[in-house]
Amino acid sequence: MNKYNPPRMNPSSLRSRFATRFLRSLSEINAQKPTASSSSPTEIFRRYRRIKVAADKSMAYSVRSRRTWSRAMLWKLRTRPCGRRSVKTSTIVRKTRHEKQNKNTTTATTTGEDGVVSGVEADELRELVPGGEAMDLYNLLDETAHYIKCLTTQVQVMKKIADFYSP
Amino acid sequence: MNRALPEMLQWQQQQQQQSYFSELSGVFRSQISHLCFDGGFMSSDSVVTREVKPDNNGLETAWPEPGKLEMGSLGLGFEFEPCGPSYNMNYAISGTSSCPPPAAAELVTGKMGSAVGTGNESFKKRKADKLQNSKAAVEDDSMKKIKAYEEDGESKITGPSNSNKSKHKKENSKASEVQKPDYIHVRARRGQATDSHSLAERVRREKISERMKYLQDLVPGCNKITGKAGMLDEIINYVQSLQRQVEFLSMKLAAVNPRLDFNIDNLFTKVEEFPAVQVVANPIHYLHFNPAQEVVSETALRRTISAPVTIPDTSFLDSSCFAQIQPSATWDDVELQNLYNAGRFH
Repeated sequence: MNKYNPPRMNPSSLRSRFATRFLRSLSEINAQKPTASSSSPTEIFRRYRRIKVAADKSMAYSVRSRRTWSRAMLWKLRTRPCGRRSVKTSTIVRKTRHEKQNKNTTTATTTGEDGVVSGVEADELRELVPGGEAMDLYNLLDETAHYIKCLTTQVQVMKKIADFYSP
Repeated sequence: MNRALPEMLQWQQQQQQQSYFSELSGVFRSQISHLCFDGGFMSSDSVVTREVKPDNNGLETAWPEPGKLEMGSLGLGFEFEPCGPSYNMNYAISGTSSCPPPAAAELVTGKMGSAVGTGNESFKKRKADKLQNSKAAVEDDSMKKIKAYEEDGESKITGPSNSNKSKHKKENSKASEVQKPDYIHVRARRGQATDSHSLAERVRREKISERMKYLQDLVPGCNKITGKAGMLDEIINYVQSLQRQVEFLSMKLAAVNPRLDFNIDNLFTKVEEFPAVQVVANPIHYLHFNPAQEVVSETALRRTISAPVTIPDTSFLDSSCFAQIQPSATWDDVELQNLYNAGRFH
């Protein structure tokens, strides 16, 4: 829980672990296609997919299997090929979110106000956090906190790499 | 065995009644601490006798009224159905005699726990007990009110729970030592139910709200929102924005020069050297990739990408990396955005 407090050059911090893994896989991805038609959009889209998977995988590996979400993410990455299915699921999620927001206005008034969280938002969060489908609310919030921290680290590192290559 | 248990409890009730009588006969101003001690002692005593109970199987003493007990001097009559187990009464009384509400809660949980092992009959009783538990809680409440009125005479007591609790702890530390490791400490306020289910529910709710507070510190812009539904919405938005930022950044990395040779060590040190930057400072920067909001999202993206990160050191950008960059590798954001959307929806 407290392990994300990155001191500057700590080699065992989550940040540097993720950075090393991600850079290594990025260089592998870049080394694989030396002379293909690399500027066509489909090719770039394929590369995008691979980089995305590499980012997720290196994030999950640097968390290791301590967390439920990292285990679930690794399992998902292992079982599904890195195709277009995640695109589909994300659009579905967005649709259901809009549907549920309409319902939300009715249910939020009926559910109790003293600390009882209505289940609609919790279900939305379950769809977002990997492996959150089978969790109760307390564990879900716990995993969400850690997942947010890791995503923040991931975004920071990737942003710096991107800024490094396209200033 | 089935009959011995209520009788033991009635015996306790009788004793407690006596303690009440002695207290009410004129000395209760000076004896409140004594009462608390007495109540705590009785509570531990009840646990002990519950455990001893199978040995007292043959003990038969006839008490005149099995179903009804009257506490005339208090002006409260407790009525029970004759079919119901009369030791429910004990909950109310012991709850009041050890007046602090946490102690009452503890007592009930401890009893529920200790009654588990006693087998089939006690299971039936517990079932009946659940039916009457609300009644017991109501009576418990009224007794507490009377107690509070009594103690209002002493102006130093602000709330009946805290000061009494300290006394209680001071005076029978032995009994509390025996009881301590068995329960989770839950504070039940007046009028709250004290059966084990609602206690567990309360513990769960407290844990959840603690997690929510932690998440509130983590998600920017979440401090102003009150209400858990709004906070959860904000958390969901934040997670989604972060996930989309990752997608966008990997898109950007894919669009950058593919043939670029990474110098891992160099880049790694550079990545490590940068100060930690808050990623998204405002909820205004949240990214929404709905097709209708494309323009807004693009500007937001530009702001998030370009604004907060300041490159502290540009000296390393000169030699090795730029020598390998192709001119075709520069993509501007519009092109990226189009490609991104094309990728999402095709």
